Amino acid sequence: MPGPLTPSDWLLAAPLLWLAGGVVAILVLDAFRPAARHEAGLAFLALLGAAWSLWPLAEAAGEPLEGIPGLPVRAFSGMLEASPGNAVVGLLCLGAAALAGILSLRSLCRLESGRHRTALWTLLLVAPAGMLVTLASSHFATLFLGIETLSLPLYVLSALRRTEEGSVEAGLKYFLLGAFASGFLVFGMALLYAGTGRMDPGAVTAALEGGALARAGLGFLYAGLLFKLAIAPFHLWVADVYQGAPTPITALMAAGTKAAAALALLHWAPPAGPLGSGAWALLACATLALANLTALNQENLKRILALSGVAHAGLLLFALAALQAAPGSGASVEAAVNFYLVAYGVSALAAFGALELLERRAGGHAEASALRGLGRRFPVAGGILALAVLSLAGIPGTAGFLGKYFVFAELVRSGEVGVALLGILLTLWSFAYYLRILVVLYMKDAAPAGGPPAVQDTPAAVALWVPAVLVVLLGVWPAPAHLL
Amino acid sequence: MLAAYAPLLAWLVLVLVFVTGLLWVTDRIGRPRPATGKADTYECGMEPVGDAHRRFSVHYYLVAVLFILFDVEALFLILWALQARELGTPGLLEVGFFLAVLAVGWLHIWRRGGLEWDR
Amino acid sequence: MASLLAFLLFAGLAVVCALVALFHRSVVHSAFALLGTLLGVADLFLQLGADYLAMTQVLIYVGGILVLILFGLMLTPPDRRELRPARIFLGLAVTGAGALLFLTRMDSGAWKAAPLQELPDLANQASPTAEPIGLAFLERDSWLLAFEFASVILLAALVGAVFIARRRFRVDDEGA
Repeated sequence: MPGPLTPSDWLLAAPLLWLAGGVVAILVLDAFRPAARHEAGLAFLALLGAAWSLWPLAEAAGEPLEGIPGLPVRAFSGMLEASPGNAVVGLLCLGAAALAGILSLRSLCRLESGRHRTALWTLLLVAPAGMLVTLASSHFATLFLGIETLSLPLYVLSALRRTEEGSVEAGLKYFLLGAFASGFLVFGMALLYAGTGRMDPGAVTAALEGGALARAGLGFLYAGLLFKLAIAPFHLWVADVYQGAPTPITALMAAGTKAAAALALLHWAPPAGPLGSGAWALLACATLALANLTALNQENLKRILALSGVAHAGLLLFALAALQAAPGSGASVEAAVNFYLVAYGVSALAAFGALELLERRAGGHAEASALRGLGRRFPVAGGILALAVLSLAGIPGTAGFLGKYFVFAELVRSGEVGVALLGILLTLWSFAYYLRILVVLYMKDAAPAGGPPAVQDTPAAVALWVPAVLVVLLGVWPAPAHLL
Repeated sequence: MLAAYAPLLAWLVLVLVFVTGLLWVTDRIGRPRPATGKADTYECGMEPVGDAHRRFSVHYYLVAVLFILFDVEALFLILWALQARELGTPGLLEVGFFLAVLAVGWLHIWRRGGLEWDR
Repeated sequence: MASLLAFLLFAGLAVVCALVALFHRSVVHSAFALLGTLLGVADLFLQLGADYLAMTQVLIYVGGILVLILFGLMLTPPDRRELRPARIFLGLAVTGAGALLFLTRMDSGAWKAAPLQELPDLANQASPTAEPIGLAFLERDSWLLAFEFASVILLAALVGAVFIARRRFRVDDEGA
């Protein structure tokens, strides 16, 4: 019978209500006062509100990495479940949307004389709402709804530059493949439900003990999730979509979608048991190797960063392998994953954000030839990109290093030393293409300034400092990291 | 339970029989008088131009998508309507929230000219 | 007996129409053939006791998706190329293997949600499902969140559709 909503229901619903409220406010204002340009302000208000309402939960992440993180909050009779560490990742998703918005203020918002603004800002609010639901999903209904809600806005936003073939291609490609992946996901859910009669993460455990039907369902479910996370062999869309999509949207996809899908995968990962760590470790190594191999031949910096994202997603699977190998390591693995996601997220945001600013100086091109030597001409944006690349590579002193360190530490602790060594070797291999970005940025013979002079974009230049500072801060002062 | 659908089946059969029967009857009792004008797409008025296989305005597609979206909305409403009394005021508030969000979407397409044909 | 006849009738309709949809030369005919397939599936839902699902199938798929497919065809330039037999055979092989695997490996005991043995009687035992589904969606301790959140995703789809299908604006349209 309908009882009143519990405090934990409200706690997890509040950020969603803020975001939905922002969408509604933007659309209503746009309908009656189309001339007034309120969209950006309202959107930032909604994002801030969502972050503010998520904060109490994130703040509860008070225990150190070794201990038990704060108790997860369950809401809507188990539809959603979020630990404080998850809430921090949720804040990252909100921040990614905010940064994407700030980067769009002087570029995407002005496309086609600003007629896109309403669509842009509403979809920029819906996407993080989907991410929040996905990363806290503990029921098939919320998992599917969350993934659809985060994907749908991104399909449209990828195609935002309607006059550019690459952008439209990115949107279409992402949409078609994403729809296919959603089909896999739903089919997997149906089989799992048929085979186990459950719709919560317990279905995974039951499926592993159950018959072929449920196991097939499990395979389909993971295929759908791994597509969103861009794990080999489901990673082929990433380079094209990340390259074609407008760079602010790419930043949101890289940081937000990946984080949400990864946490969903962790929620729905099988507990230690019959599946073993081998499958995850194998997938992780294959993904890392394929991403590295492909990235070495790329000429476009956005593609290189996209493939770096694939490699990072692959590395995340090592955490799942550790979870499999060592039963009872759930809490510390989850903490490591949360930190890893935040570290990768801020690095990717800084990288794509800085790349967007440099791209504008190079007439909208992200080719290595067009960006030659721009790091010297634009020391701030170039420096932030270089810093982010160092963090993505995992140089000590940056957040990226600690993220990788925590994951590999979990792997070693679970007794999979061999796998950990292999992973570290594969990571070292990736230095080759990160180094290449640095070389391009600081090359002697700078590219001639191409295209019309870029608009002065103070908000973006200022906002970019936030992820950049976080990259360093999380790298040298891991105390906040232990909060996860 | 299945017996409850017998009228539906009977109706389906009736429709099929009636339509095919009507066509059959007109075919039998009608006296065909072929003429060139009758073979045209329109007997009077517009002269058809070109091929039917041409690309249509994307606006048709928008209309179809909007139709499906509101179709889904209607399906959700049916669920509530069947239980409206039992669910009482809380149910009304819940469905009100659902409808309000979608009403905003309708407002958006209306004000943005999504419902106008010639934009 | 009646249910078996109805099953054979509608399942046959679904399969035959699906074959027509696959192999007919004209895509428009294929789209219309889908009508029969979708109706046949609706009947299968009905016979399994899922009356609300059957109604959904008719309303959304027969009424909506089919129209969308037809409009989609109107937007596409005609492509009169023949289907390549190799592709058809590959497709048949893959789906056939999948179906075979499904039928042989999935013993009836595997269906926890609704064991296979009970299926023939389901339609006769089941009561209308729309009301329990409605209760489940709107009660606060079950699917309420999914219900309300569905409105947000529908809204996003609306905004996205209007954006995608809008005409391209030129600079001289400014102020319109």
